[in-house]
Amino acid sequence: MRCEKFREIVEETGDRDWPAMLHQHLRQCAACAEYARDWRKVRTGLTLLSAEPAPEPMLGFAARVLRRLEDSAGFFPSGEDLLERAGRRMVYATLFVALVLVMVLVLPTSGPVRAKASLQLFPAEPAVVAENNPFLVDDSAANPPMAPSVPAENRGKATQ
Amino acid sequence: MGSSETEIPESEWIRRVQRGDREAFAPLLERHQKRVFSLVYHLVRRRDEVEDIAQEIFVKAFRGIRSYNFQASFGTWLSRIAVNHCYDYLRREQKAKLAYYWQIGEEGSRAIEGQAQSLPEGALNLEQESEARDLAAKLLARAPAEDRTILVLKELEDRSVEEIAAILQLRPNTVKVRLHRARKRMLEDWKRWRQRR
Repeated sequence: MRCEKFREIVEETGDRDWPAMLHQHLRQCAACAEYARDWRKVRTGLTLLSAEPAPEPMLGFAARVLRRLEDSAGFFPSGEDLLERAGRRMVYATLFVALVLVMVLVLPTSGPVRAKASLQLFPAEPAVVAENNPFLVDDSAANPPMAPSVPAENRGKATQ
Repeated sequence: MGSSETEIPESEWIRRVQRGDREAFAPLLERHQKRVFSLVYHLVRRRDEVEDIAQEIFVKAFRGIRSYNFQASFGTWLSRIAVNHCYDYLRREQKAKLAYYWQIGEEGSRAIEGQAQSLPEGALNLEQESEARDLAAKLLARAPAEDRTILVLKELEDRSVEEIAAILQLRPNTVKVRLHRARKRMLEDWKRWRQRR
């Protein structure tokens, strides 16, 4: 019998349950005999350990856990909580969009923030355009501005 | 827990919790708390820490209960959470400690050796029982977290190989192999120290 197989069987069975071939191997193999002896000692201790009473849950343990769950209620929302949370998020999103729209509409197109941008968006018309445009030619010298018109019936009074 | 509550099957409580009924978690807690305490104590071996760790385990279970799909029993699923939680705890604890028996100090080693040598083959008296218990506890405490977990489940919690396989999500044959290796490693470490002396 191989030592490894012997040791596996020794671990799984109590001393009294050993078949004859195990006893035979035990007599022939000193290392396995030592292994079996050590395992018996450790197993005795483990058996005693398992019989040792574990601490009992103290009174109110369940209540303390439930309280802890309530304290950290956010992580496990109920259906209603989920709906409420989704609704609240919708409201926040709508408010944000509305605020952005209001800012776009209300803010002036000029000012410290917008001035530069508005200049780039609507550049002043170059002077060349005015020069070439017959409708925009400066003819103020040829046609002086007319005197303010005075009604005919008031002209005499005005000269008097 | 009232008599009407005990009549409701466990699966119904679980479904209620999954639907968001926090109070329905109480009967599950009541039903499984003793077993979780035992498992935590055997794995961690610190009475003062057991309640805190058990609380954390139940909080984790509550948080993850929607992922429970009824394939394993709720007890097995809960044990899996407990084992994983304690495993992490042990890993953290052992980072600062020496893992193997032969690495421990001269004084501690002598104490363990003395205990082992004084253990007779036959029936034990109270003092010898106490020594045997201490020896096993110290050897377990010094085993790596993986070995300790599987040994505790088998030797102290008396779980079947199939149950251990379900908890650790391994095949039963793999559990058998790992159990043998864990036992062997524990005895080899002990033997190695004896040879060094």
